[in-house]
Amino acid sequence: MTPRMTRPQRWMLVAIGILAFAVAFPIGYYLNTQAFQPITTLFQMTANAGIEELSLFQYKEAGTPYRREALLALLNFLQTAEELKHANSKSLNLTIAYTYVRLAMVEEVAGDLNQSHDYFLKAQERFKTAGLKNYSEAHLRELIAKADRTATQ
Amino acid sequence: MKLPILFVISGCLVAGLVTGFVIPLYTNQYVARFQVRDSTRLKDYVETYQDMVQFEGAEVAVTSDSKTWGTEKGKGSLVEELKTIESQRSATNNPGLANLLRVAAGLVQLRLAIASAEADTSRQYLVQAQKNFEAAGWTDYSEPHLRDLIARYYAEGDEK
Repeated sequence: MTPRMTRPQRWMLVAIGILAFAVAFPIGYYLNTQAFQPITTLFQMTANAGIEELSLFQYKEAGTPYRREALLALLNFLQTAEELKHANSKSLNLTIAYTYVRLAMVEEVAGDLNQSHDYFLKAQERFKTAGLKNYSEAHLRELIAKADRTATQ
Repeated sequence: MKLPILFVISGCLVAGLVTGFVIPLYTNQYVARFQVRDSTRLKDYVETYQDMVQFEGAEVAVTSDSKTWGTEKGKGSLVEELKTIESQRSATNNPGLANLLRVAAGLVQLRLAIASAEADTSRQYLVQAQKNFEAAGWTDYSEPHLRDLIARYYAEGDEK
């Protein structure tokens, strides 16, 4: 028969149990991120591709209010993903930068030049962070024109 | 004394490993609630995320094999995709997302119009697609423009 444990022995056992749990929990968490991170990234990329594709259709085919609405929905989605660190930050940064340029162009057509300028500044900041050497407004216009020629349609 | 110690250590180690592994599975999207204070924004994000994963997943599956659209199986996949998009659209309160889903529905209807051999069915899908594009604010939703658009879009998809 096992002898009964004394009170200090029982407390020691509880402490050992808590310690074992505390050591194992981060290991389990780490194993989870290793196992599921690629899947999470893939899903996020899929979601980004879906909303970007549909927003670009709107940007190319719809009237100004609808183009603006689609681009703002895309921007809002990408910025939240960025805040939550749900995707590769470099590629998100570039997509957000392109979205700002497109928004700037939409506002320019709508006649809101102040808002357009503000979007251009935000785009320039993003391209600067991405390491683009030439982020002048004229160059960004060229970039977006080229990207739009080769995009979905 | 040795036996209970080993039992407690191994039990707590396994419990810690399992808890550490399982908790993120349930909280990956929703733990964000603590990171983003504006819960409406987060709700919109999660909804858009889920709808877009489903849409793009179906798109990749369908467009990777555009030659099957005309077959019964291919049309079945398109009809299923359309049903999913329409149920998502009726479920959302987010107008921006609703409009994007209108475009998604229109694109699938356009493909169904092209895939349908029967003239009446094809016409019905085309008209539905035009209604969706019109509601989504498109400036040109004429039949020649839409046929040209879909041809260029999927020709590019096939090249990929």
